[in-house]
Amino acid sequence: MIQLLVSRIIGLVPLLLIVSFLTFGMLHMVPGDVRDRILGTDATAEQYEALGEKLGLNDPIVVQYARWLFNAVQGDLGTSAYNSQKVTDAVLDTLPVTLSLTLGGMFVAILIGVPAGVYAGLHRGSYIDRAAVLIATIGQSLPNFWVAMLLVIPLGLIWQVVPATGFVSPSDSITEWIKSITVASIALGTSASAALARQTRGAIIDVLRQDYIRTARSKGLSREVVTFKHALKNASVPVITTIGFQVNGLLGGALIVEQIFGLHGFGSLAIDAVRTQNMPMMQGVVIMGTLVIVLVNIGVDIAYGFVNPKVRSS
Amino acid sequence: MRYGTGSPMQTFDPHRADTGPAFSTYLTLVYDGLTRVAPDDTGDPLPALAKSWEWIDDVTIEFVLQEGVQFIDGEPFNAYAAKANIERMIAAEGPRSRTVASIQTAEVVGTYRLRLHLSYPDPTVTYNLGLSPGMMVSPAAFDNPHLDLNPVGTGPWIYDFENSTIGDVHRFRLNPNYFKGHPDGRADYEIRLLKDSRARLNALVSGQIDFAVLGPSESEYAERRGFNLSTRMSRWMGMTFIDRNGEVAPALADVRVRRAIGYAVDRQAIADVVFFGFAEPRSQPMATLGHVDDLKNYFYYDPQKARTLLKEADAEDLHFVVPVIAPISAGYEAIQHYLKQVGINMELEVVEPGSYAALARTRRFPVNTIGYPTYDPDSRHLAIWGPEAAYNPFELNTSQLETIAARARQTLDEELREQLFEEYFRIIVTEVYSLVFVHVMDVVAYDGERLADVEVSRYIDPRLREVKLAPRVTGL
Repeated sequence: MIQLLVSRIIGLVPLLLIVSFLTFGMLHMVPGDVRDRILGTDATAEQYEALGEKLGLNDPIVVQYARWLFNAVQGDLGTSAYNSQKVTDAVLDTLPVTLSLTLGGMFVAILIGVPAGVYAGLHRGSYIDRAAVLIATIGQSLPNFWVAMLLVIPLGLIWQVVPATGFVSPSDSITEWIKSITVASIALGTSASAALARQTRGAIIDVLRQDYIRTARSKGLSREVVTFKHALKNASVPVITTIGFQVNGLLGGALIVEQIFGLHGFGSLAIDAVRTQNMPMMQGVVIMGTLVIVLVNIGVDIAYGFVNPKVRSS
Repeated sequence: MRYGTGSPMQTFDPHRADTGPAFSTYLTLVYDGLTRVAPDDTGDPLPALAKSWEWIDDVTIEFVLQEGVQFIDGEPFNAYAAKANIERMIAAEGPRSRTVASIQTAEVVGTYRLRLHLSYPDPTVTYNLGLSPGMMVSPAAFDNPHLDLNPVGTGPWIYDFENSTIGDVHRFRLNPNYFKGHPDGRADYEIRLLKDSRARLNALVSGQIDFAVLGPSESEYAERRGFNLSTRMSRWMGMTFIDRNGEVAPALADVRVRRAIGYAVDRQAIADVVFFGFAEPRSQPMATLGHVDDLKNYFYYDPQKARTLLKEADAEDLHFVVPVIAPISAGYEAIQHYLKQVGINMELEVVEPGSYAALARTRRFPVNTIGYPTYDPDSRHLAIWGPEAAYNPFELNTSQLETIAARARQTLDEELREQLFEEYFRIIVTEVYSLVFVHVMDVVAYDGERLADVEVSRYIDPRLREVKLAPRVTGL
């Protein structure tokens, strides 16, 4: 297990290098120039040149990349093109918001998706199973931003049980933090819960067909023991994979949902950076985003280890 | 006072800042200029840190400065500080530096008297010193590398750096030592950045903020919910024909074709439907200086006339491509529909907002759709129609316009300036260099129970300096 972790962490280095190089190259191919945004419409060619010099844009792209990489390995992802805000500070300010939404969305997805999938799998062919499949299909096809826009009307505007916009850090108040992410988490978790329910149902049905389940039943074990001790544990492997995928999907979904709730998260930072062609910020966002996704995948691998002894021993 | 804006703070360094929503939202709270621009449509320069000024001759102007003013770091404001600021502003070469390019040197002629020597007569210099180039920063903070995040000015509010988060919430405390004092009803500010107009509406309706700038559909809803609205028309929506020699779209070289486009569009319908009534049909770019009264309804909806003009110009199968950004595409989709009715195929190419400006400066498209402000014609000339303008990528010879603009720029005679700009915009409208469809209203919705004196500035956001808590809130 430790060997697996070490190899994953070592593998992270070339991955980040490749991602950073590709991002750097692609960002330079995007039409437009940050100088247009900073200098406005009345700038002269001399002003362009001078700003390019200040921002290091006049150097060849390889030189720019090497300079960025040299600083990045020392923990300095650069400075915003518009002011002296450090990219690292901007990322660290916004990441907790997006991670809160992602975790909240995942919590909602697991809370709804796993029990619904287990129940539907155990009662295959029943009305409840069919209803669960139908609801899951509908749930999966609902765009989370649309669900968010609908939910905020009764919860945030009419009854005002949760704030309509904004984020409260858990370090300020746990209760207010939960309130501030509730609607966004439900909106995000809805489609993820549907995917999870479908996957869990399929996994349970598959496991229940296995010989060892028949053996366990023929040994006279109760339905509860067979279900909870044997079936669920083995069915959890594909479910954990799905959770891993869904976390990555939720991170992407959070980028859009943040706009609806006026949350200053990683998504807002990314969208802003793209709109304003703030290259250092874009580069930092992509690198940190990659890092988060890789760490989530490592977390999934660790979870495999807990449920699957074969992974632990390998 | 809690305000929701869609304009992010980019820099608190006024000499490196542009003049726009971020200027009116953030910079005007913490800085004073030598002058300030009148809030009404005249845009006249009014006293601020300069009590008065006087033209010594055509190229020399002397400012008498306020006494007893201190920057928030305790440094005194005087002619030496003002001179240092002017010199810093020139050296910084910020986005607005071209607007005060006439300033050659600054001279201290007394502790509270500053003289500016210009390279040519420039009647706009007092106006432009009321914007970001004329804002005064404490000279002791010039070398502070974080001045762009933590301002040091003389303004009525002090930025609360510790309790603010860039891109999220910015807090401002009343400056207890503000040289003019504070009228009743002024309070600390909390400015929340909410990019999405719907999010701002939700925050307003749920009581999280007291006022917000809203888009047309949200404004209509806010009005129905009983919020007060303050409106101002400061921008136009239209097309600027940058390829008037017909390199990319030959038919557009014919003025009859450009006029046909003007007659083909029902401006009133666009104002009512696309902008929910928060726009007015117009034919002219300028609302004040440069506005020509007898051209008010130069273009009107007459599709038959448009067809006739196209036939005369032998341009009945006209096709051209127009770049638009997504937030304004609805208006151009409506125009596209009207043009189709008269046989013009206007194709829309949606481009990223970040790359729009660069694209508009290339020869790829014959038209640009940038919505320019309806004031400050001199700046518009420099940016759009002048021979060396950034948005004149086909390098059209506009020497006739340049001659008029240069004369207007260099005369101190206000009446002559008005005449010259009327002549200028008569050409723009009748020769269809730019075709205006509507003037768009900026809207700020506010809770009238809590706030008073909410007026939209020229830059989308309200004039935050003037807003007050309502008497029923303060109890005064």
